[in-house]
Formats: sequence, structure tokens, C-alpha cells
Amino acid sequence: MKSFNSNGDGKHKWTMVVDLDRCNGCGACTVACQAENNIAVVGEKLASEKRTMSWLRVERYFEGEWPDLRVIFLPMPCQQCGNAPCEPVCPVFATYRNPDGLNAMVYNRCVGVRFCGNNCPYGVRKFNWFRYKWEKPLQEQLNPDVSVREVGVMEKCTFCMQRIRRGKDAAKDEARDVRDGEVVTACAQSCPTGAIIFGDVKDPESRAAKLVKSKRRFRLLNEHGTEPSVVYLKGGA
Amino acid sequence: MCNAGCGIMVRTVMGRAKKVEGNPAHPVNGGGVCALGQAAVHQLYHPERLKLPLLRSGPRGTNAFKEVSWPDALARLADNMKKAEGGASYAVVSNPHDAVTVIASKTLKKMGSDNLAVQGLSAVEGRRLAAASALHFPDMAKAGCVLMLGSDVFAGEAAAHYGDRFGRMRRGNESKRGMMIYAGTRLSLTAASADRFVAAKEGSLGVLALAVAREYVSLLKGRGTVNPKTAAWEKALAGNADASSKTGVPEDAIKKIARDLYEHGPSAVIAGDDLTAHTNGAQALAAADFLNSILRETADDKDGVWPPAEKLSGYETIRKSTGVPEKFAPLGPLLASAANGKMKLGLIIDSDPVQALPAGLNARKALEATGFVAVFGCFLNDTTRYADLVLPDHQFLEAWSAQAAVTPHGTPFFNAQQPVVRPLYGTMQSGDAILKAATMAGFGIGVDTQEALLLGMVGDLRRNLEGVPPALDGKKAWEHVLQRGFAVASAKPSSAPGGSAKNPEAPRVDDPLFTGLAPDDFFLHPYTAANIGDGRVSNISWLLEMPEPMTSVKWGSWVEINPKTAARLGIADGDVLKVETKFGSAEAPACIYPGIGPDTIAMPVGFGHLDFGKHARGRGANVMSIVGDVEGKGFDYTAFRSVKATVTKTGKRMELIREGNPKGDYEGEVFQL
Amino acid sequence: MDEQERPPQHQEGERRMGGPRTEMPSLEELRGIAARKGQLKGLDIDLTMPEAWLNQYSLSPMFYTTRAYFVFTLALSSVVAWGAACWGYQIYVGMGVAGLRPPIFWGIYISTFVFWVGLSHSGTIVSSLLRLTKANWRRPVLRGAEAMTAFSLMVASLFPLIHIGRIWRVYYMFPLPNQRFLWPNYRSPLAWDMLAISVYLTASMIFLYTGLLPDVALARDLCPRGNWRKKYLTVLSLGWRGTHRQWHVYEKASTLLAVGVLLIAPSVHTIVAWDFSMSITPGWHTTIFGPYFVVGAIYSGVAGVISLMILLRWIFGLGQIIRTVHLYNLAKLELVMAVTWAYFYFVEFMTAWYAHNPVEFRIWEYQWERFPHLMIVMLGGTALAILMLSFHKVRTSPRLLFLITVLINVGMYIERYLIVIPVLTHRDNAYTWTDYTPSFVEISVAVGALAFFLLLYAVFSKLLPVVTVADIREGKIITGDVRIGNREVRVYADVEEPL
Repeated sequence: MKSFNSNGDGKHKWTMVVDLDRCNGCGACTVACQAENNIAVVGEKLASEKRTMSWLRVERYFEGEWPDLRVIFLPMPCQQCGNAPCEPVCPVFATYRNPDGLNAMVYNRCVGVRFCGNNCPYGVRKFNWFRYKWEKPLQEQLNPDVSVREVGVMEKCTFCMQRIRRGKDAAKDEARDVRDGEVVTACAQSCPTGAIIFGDVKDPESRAAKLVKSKRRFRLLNEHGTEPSVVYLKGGA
Repeated sequence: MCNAGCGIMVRTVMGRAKKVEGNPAHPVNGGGVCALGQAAVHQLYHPERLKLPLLRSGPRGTNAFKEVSWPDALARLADNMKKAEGGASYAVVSNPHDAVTVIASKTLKKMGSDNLAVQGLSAVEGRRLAAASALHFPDMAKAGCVLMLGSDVFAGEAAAHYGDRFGRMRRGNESKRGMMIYAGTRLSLTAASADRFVAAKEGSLGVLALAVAREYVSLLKGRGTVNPKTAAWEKALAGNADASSKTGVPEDAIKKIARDLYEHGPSAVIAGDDLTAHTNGAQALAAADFLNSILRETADDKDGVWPPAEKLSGYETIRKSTGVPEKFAPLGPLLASAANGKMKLGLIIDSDPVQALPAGLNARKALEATGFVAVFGCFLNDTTRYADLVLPDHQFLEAWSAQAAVTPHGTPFFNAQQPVVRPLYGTMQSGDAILKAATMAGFGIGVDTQEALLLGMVGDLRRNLEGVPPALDGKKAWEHVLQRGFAVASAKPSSAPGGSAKNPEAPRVDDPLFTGLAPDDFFLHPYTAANIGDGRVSNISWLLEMPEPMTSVKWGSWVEINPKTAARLGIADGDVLKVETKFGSAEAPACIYPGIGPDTIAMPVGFGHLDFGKHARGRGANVMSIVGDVEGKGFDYTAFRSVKATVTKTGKRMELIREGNPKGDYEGEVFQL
Repeated sequence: MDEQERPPQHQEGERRMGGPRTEMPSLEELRGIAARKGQLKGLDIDLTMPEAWLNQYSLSPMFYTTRAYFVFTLALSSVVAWGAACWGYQIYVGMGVAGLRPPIFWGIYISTFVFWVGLSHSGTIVSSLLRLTKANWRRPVLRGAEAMTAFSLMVASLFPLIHIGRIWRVYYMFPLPNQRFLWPNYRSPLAWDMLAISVYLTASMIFLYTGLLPDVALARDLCPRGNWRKKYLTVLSLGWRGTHRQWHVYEKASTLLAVGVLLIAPSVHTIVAWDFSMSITPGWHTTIFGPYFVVGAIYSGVAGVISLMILLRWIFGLGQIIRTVHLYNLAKLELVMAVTWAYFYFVEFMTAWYAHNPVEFRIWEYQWERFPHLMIVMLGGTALAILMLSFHKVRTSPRLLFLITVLINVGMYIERYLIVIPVLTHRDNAYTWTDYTPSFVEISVAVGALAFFLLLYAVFSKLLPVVTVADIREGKIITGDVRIGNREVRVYADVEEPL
């Protein structure tokens, strides 16, 4: 049987660096993601049931008591784990690793057993509980590069796969390598503080490749052995 | 949607706008876009947009209209313009820098009126219009330490700008990390990112500024930094001994702020609503300026925290060429005279005074007493209820426009904006509508369309813009600017002293005054939340579904209350509270929030619309409807935090819709953060 | 043996019932005879029962149907129909009609699935184990237990289908050849699970059917002419004539099947446990889950067998063959399982405590905070079961046994609920903590599944023999009462297989 999962042996290794010292929690990234990836608005009732579809959320943690409070913002996209817990548990290979080290999600293959969602320690996988509708003429805004998901399938952050593809295609047309900064995810692009840096760590000159060597780096819940592709830089002096 | 003037680019596919992206070269946002800006495409395709002019068919206050044709609508407007010749007309706009404001201002002048007001102009923003002193434009990015005096800049307008500057301050330079200290009455979004949060009493930040200045000067003296003005400053600042008890900030904490400002310099103070939104706001702002002037004089500003006077003075040129007004009519007296029946025509442009202004200003009464009210906008809202004529505007992505303004870090710029999509409906740009009606009424200002006006502007401007080749004529220059989306005003040699040469004189800061029903009332703290802003976008479901960053609440408004106070009063999260002030009462569910003082309650603005489409109508409570003036003080509407409120439980419950989990909020250590 | 406890003679019944092919006595008559004879303590079979009477008595549930039965099955059918309608509604509208929300993607559908799989376990384990160890008291219990296995597995295997988001794409999970060479992911515990369940279902169905053969043949022979059952009984009995060779093959086959099933059953439940323990979710990711689930399954299954046996006795008046001693022995087995189960509880909590995993601690705290009543029922139920089952009086009282075994299974359902729910609602990422309440649809489906199980059993009892007549008769043949000194002792003959 052919193995569907690659070991990240492709030409690129897309990585997101999130500088928590820069992040001010404004939430621009979440709306940018919503606009780019055709993420459904679920409405008040479903939101009250915590069924929002956002692929990226900014988690906020408190420490201490008034007035000595410390606040930490933690943008949480799919961590695109190198050793993703969601992949082996999918019975139909709907989620698999592509050669660039991303956890790709094949919506058409998904049957909706939702084990991947259970096995994700970051809780970033979302499920299409219902058929979501776009009230006319809002469907005009839908991004033609991103599929609108059917009821009953899982979805999650793709590191803006469509933008990566666009960047790679442009590079291929011009017979060159993808330049650093040519491919940016919607969240990284919109982040006012520049807290999200996206790039290819296999390109040693890229900003991301330099930043992942920072002394402030850490990864979330790596004790599970997930090897996330999202690297956080610690806040504070 | 907002007045910041960010440079944006829109990705379009097959003539449809898909995605708003920031212009990386723009001095305001540097490539970032805030949540509101992202939602512009949603607003463009909003299902509830107005498609044709509407003429009132029922009594005022009902939003009952019938559709009329544009010629008919414009004829009616022109008719009423004629009737209102002289001083009997006024206009309310939302963006002081925009081309439509220029058109309104010019048309009103032609009609013999200068009653042009801006809705929701804060004291700090108002000062920026004049761009008088470099002291008002410190650049956070270059500072080693900034003291935020109650300025929640990440949630307000220009969030993308301040975000950009903040990111650069923190990690723009790997060898030096800028420090941010936030002093205020509530742990706002900005305070959350600060290295230190200092809790001060409501209305005491001016006193705090002076106290910090005093400590700072004594530090200067103690460490032997020589400045000829030290003695004068010391003298000016003497007599602020009781600052600690007035502000509630311990003496040590004040000293520590001064020490940080000194050690990490160059430092600057950025003032905000917490400081200015009280009865002593003007004095407090002056106190902050005073502290800034000391910081500016004593620091080695090689990085350029303060914009050079030449750069700033370029604004004067573009302001004059574009016709952006320097000063606006104060809203209080204007609305009062309208309420007295002195106004025959009101033009409400892209704003919602009935919803967004404090009840004390009585915008509703003013509109009711105005002979003819024409509202320009994309949606029916609280204000259109009182309109005789509603003229549907292009959404800004369908429109030609331009803005001339100064960034908060002192770069004057001119934005040129072209439509990215064909207009979806039979709408007309407000500027065009006003120009057409004015021409019909005989008040023409010489141009027929907003586009022509813009061309004219650039014709005058082009020699004062950086990067525009002088050889280009007006049309070519306009196209040139359009390509980049903006141009920065070129620096002018200037002799302006920049506010530093004045003799040091410490301003006096009076105690703030408050209006309450009972002595143990809570301070009522209305604030702008990062998701909904001032309420102009609260019909956009993307933004309603985006959690407010601090409380993580979405789809509704709330009353923030300290956990201990809530426990004392037996209030649980989600209990509906009745917040009562002298001006009225509002009901919203309690949100137990650790970042608020035990004697304060906070409510976000922008909710509680009476009418603004199905998403906004009746959602949450409008805190502005219970805010008014302090007795005997006359009403300066910027002092919207001078009201105290009584809180009672109604017995009803309404679970808040949260993204996070209130219990999990304290469990971040699992990530070893 | 006391003189009073000796069974009364059977002349009356024998006379009236005559040979095997005559008209059957009415149900009331059979009941009357059974009631008059009273219960026999300590004896697993009444040797004085004539063969013909035994045959008819055992098959009586098949041939006599009361109005209450129709009312009962109709009620069950309507519950099943309601559950099915809810499932249809869920397919039509979307999974959202369940109370699930991120990060809790599995709810009571999965806990109900684990419950039914667990319940299915002891059916075959008990049956095959007792067969292989030649425990003589096994005989009347076998059929009921095996049928319970088959039916609860059928119900259980519905739940993965009910639970998936796109049922119309379920064939992606089967290894069907396709032009893109897309196969199921055999790294996924769910793929193992699907295989395991289907193998187990097949095996237990064959096991059940093999055991049924002689009894079906008997029923065919006893079936009055013209009865509609005759046809399918004839087909199902596969021409069983009871020849020596047939019996010989039958014995061999059932022994071999028993060995096979005995091997499959624990592995299946271990695989169900792997659905959880192969994940990295704290609270699930633990090595104890395999044996823990197997023991839990047998514990709940034996309780299920006891409850069902008691129900059969009550409903069909089968007290003459499903005797107190059988319940008594099953209760002893259950006591052993209860103690083992309690030990596993202890080990689970101790390992969590010793590992000092903060997430597991929080889950534990949350369980007590959110579900104190359920925790008390679950833990208290086990403690009560151990305590009560230790008493001889309890073990011999069907009424108390019924209550206890039902309580045990309620506790086991709660156990499965608490395995699935708190672990998911309160996992690593505290920001996503949430709460879960099963929705009306989910509860309807779960209740519908219970009704479906009972309905299957009820229909089964009318179509096929619910007790193992052949085995009982075999038992009767090899049993005898021998007087040693002045005591009468029950002895059993055993046939050694010739080497």
C-alpha cells in the first residue's frame, strides 16, 4: 500500500512564528482568516453553543488579581504538527501530511467520525454541524480559491494553502524559487503588530528560519510529541 | 467605517471584492488591517444595504419610508437647502478628514452656515486636526518607554496604526525592547499588552501625570542630569503632594514609573479617553502635555520619538489645498440650538448621532425639531428614524474619495481612493448627492462630482506631495497617487517652535466631578470594544461573532464588574443587571471581569441600536443612552465618564456568549506561558 | 437434601401432555404445573421431569403469545421508530442536533456504543467459557447469553453509523477497490474497531446459530401442523435429524467455536479500548485501558445476563429450568468480576495520581464538581454490588439480584459516559473548556437503541427457542442422584473424548 503521509521531505517546510511579545490580542487575524477562508458565520444561537467555525482564535489568559493582573494573548491556529495526532486516527486518510509538512484536509474524503478533533490537544479542529448559508449577496464575497465546506466534514486552518499554491505557481512560471515573504497567510498579512511571521524554514535566509532559532522560542504542548510547525516567541523582557 | 485612514488594497476576482489587505507602505497601518477594516467587504455585500432614496411616509421615529427616484429626492433636498439659507442648516459627519466632509463644509459655507460637527470626535483626535505641536505626536515605535495615560489605542480608532507602532517598539530592534506602562481605571486591551498596569482612580490621571513629572524632575536632579529648566519645573510642580491619595496609586509606584521613564528613555506619554473623558479632561490633557514636554527636553531623541516641526508643518499645506476643516462646531451648542427649533435643515452624513452620542446631548430632540433632516448612509439606523429623506450612499469600496490627515506619529498624508467594484445598487456617493442638490439650489461650489473635486485637490496639492514628479499635471498626479493609494506631504521648512519654548507652567488639575444618584454609586466606564468599535459596524456579523478580546464575549453587550464586588452583591456571571443613572437605565448581563476596579463598572459602546438591521436591532444595551452632563457644568460631551451609576439585579438571566471559559481563563500555565 | 424439597411427581403433567407430536397444553396449564411444583433450591435440574414435558415447557415461550406481549412489542416498536426518526432528522439536518461542540466531538453515541459492546461481551465469554470448562449449571443460561451478545452487538454496531457526520459516505471506511487506490487508514483505531466489531458480530452469530440447530430442529418437530413457524424452522434446522454423526460434528464444532469466540471477545473489547487509549488525550492515553475495558465489559455483561435470565423466568415462567442455583452461580461470578472491577478503579485512580498529570487531575476535579451524583451512583453502585453479592441470601433472591444487576449496568453506563465526556470537555487547552449535555435527539436515539435491543430479544423469543433444550437434556442424561450412606448426592457423568 502506498503511504499517503509524507515525512516532510518536500522542498518547503512552512512555519509560522508568533511573537507573543508583539501580539496585542486585537483579533484582526481572526477576521482576516474568516474573510480569506470562507468561514461561515454561525449566528448567535450556535455561537452560544460554542460552535463557531473560526480556524484561528486568540486565547486570552489571566494571571493574578486586580490590580496586579497579567494577561497573555495566545493566537491559536492549527499547529500543523510534524507528528500530527489527528492524522493516524482518521480512518479514511481525510487528513494527511503533504510534502511541505502541512496537515492537509481533504474535505471530500471526510466521513465525519471526528476522532481527529478529539485527538487534537489544541482544539483547533472545527466540524460542520449544519449546512451554513450565506445570505444574498454575501456569497459574492466568497473566495473562489477556497472550497465551501459541506455539512458533516471537519475543517481547520490550512496555513492558507491556496496562497501557498498561488505563490508556488507564480514562482514556477518564472522558473525561480519562492521568495521569502511572497507567501503569507491571511492572518500574518493582516496582523497590525507584525506578530505573525510566516515563511519557509528550509530557506535559511527567510525571516521565519532566523526567528525559529530565537532564544525565546517555545512550542505548545510539545510534551505530547506533536512537533508543531507553529513556533511561539515568549513575551516579556 | 472609521477615521484612521489606513491604506488598504482589495483583492478582487471577476469584479467582486474578496479580501481587504493592508498597504505595507502606508504610514498609518504599515500593512496591517484591523478587524473592522477586514469587514469592509462584508459591509459591501451586506444584505440590508439601502438601494434607493427613501422618503419618509410615516411619523418620525418609525423608519417608515417609501422609495423615490433620485431626481425627486435631490429636488426635495435642493428645495430645503434653499429654505435653509443663512445659518439655519447644519451637518454631522463621522470622518473629519474625508472628501465628503470637505464638500459638506464648503456647501454649508456657501449657504452661510459653519455648523459642521463631527460625531464622536475625542479630545485627543480633535487636537490632531490642527497638528499644532509635535508634543501631540509622539511615536511609540521609537520610544524606549511609553506611559499610556488611559489610552486604549488598540481598541479604538487607528488600532492598526498603534498596533504597527507597538510591534516595532517591542521587537522592531532586537537589541532594545521598548517598555509600555499603562495607567488607567480599567484593564483595557492596551493595558493587557503593557509591561505594567497601574490602576488609578477615575478622573485622576491628570494628577498622576503631574506627580510622575514631579518625581521625574527630582530624579533628573538626583542623578545630575543638567537642564536649565529643572528649577523652573520643580517650582511649577510643587504642591502636588497628595497625588497618591488622589490617584490611588502608591507613592512607590509613581516613583517606579518616573524611574522607568528616566532609565529607558527616550520616553513619551500617550493620552487617551481615560484621561480626557472627565470634567477635568482639558486640564489633564495639558498636564500630560506638560510631562511630555519635560520628557522631550530631557531625552536624547536621536531615534525621532517626536516628529520634526518641518515634517509636521507639511500638513498645513495639504489641509489648505484639500479644504479639510481645521476646526468643527462643538456638538453640544449645535444640537441645543437645533433642539430649540432654530435649524431648518440637517444633513447627517455616515453617522448615527441618535445612537452614538450621549443622551445628555439630546440628538434625538434636535433632529425632531429640525425642519428637514436628510440622512446619507448605507443602512437604516437609529438616526434615519428621524429623517425626512434617506439618501443611500455608496459603500466606500464603491466610491471615489480622499482623506488628508496626520498619523498619530506625526506624518501628514493624503489618501487617494478609487472604487474597487462597480456599485451594486442604484446608490449615489453622498458627496455627489450634496453637490448636485447644492447646484440645483444655487449653492454650487464649482464642481459637479466628488471625483472632479478630488482632481482639483490634487491639482493644488501635487507639488507638496512626496514622490509625485513635479512634471505631472493634475490628472496624471491623481493617477500617480492612486497607484500607491497615498502620498506623504513633503516637509516644509518651519520656524514653529513646536511647543517646547514656552515657559514651563504646570497646569492645574481640578478634582473630577461626577453625577450620581447615590453616594456609593459605581463609576460608569463606557468604552470602545475592539470588535464593534463605536457601533457603526455593529450590524456586521463577522464582527459580532468575533470575541471581544478581553472578555471573549460575542453577540451582545455586557456590564463588567469586579469579581469581589460581584461576590459581595451576590451577582453571578450572566445575571441581568439594571444600570441606572440620572439619565436613564439600561439592562445588560453581568460579566465578571478581573480587570476592573471594585468601585467601577464598564460597558462597551456601540450596542443597543433601536434600528440597524436584524443583527444590531435590540442587541445589548446602549450605554450612551444613560450618559449625560454634570450638573452646573454645562455639557462638554467628551466628558462621558463623569456619570455614576447604581447597579441592581433584575432577577433575569442571560448567559453571555463567550469564546473562552471563565474557569479556564486562569489555566494558561499548561502551555508554560 | 430435605424430604420437603424433593420434587413432586410428574404423573399429572405427563399424562396430560402425552407424546411429543400431540397437541400442546395451553400456556395456562403449563404455568399452573410450574407454579404447583414450586422452586427447588440447590438443584440445577429436576431429574423427574419427563423428556416430553421438558421439551414443551422449554419451547412454550415460542408458541404462546399473550396480548401483553403484543402491547409490549408495539410499545417498543414505537420507541424504536421514534429513535429511528430522530436519526433520520439528524442525517437530514446535520450532526448539530446532537449536543456536541468543539472540543467535545464524541458524546453519548460513543458511550452508548461502548456500553453495548461491553454488554455483548460476557454473553459469549460466559457461554464459551462455561462450555469449555463443562460447568454443568451453564446449560439453561447459554442461549439467553449468546442471544444477548448478538443483539447487543447489532445495536452497538449501529452507533458508529449514527455517530458519523456523513453517513452517505460511509463506504469510504470499507476497503473497496477504487481507481484512486484509496484505502482505509489501517493506522486508525477506528479501522481496527470496524474490523473487530464485524468479526465479532459474525463469529457470535455463527456461535449462536450453531447452538440453535438441535433446538430449532426440535421446535420444527414440535411445531403443530399448519403453524406458520414450520416453514422457517424447517429451513433453519438445515435438515437436522439428530443422527449420531450430526451430534458428533455438532459437539466438535461448538467446542471449536467456543475456543475461537473466547479468543475474539477480549481482543474486541481491547480494540474498543484502543479507540481511546491510542489517542493522546490525557485521561484516555493510558495502558490500563485494554484490560480495564475487558473486565468492565464482563462485569457489565454478566450483570446483563443475570437481569435477562430473571426477566425470562418472570415473563415466560421458565422457573423450572432457569433455577435459583443458576442465578446463584452467575451471581458468584459477578461478585468476582465486581471485585476485579473495583481493583481496576483503584489502579486507574492510583496511576493518575502517581503520574501527577495536571490535566488528569483537573478532569478528576471537574468530574466531582459537575457530576457528583453520577460519580456516587457509579462508585457507590460497585461498592454496593460487592457488599450485597457477598450475602448468600442476596445471591439466592431473584428480586434483589435483578435490582443489583440493573444498578450495575446503570453504573456501567455512567462509567462509559464519564470516560468519554469529561475527558473531552476539559482537556489540555483550558480556553476551550466547555460543557456537554446530551440533546433530545441523542437521548431519543440512545433510548431507541435500548428499545431496539429489547425488541430484538422479544421477537427472538417468539421465533426461536430461548433456552437450550438440547443442552438441558444432555445435562439431564448425565446427571443422577445417588444415595451414599443416608445422604442423597447429585452426581454427573462425564464423557472423555477418546484419544
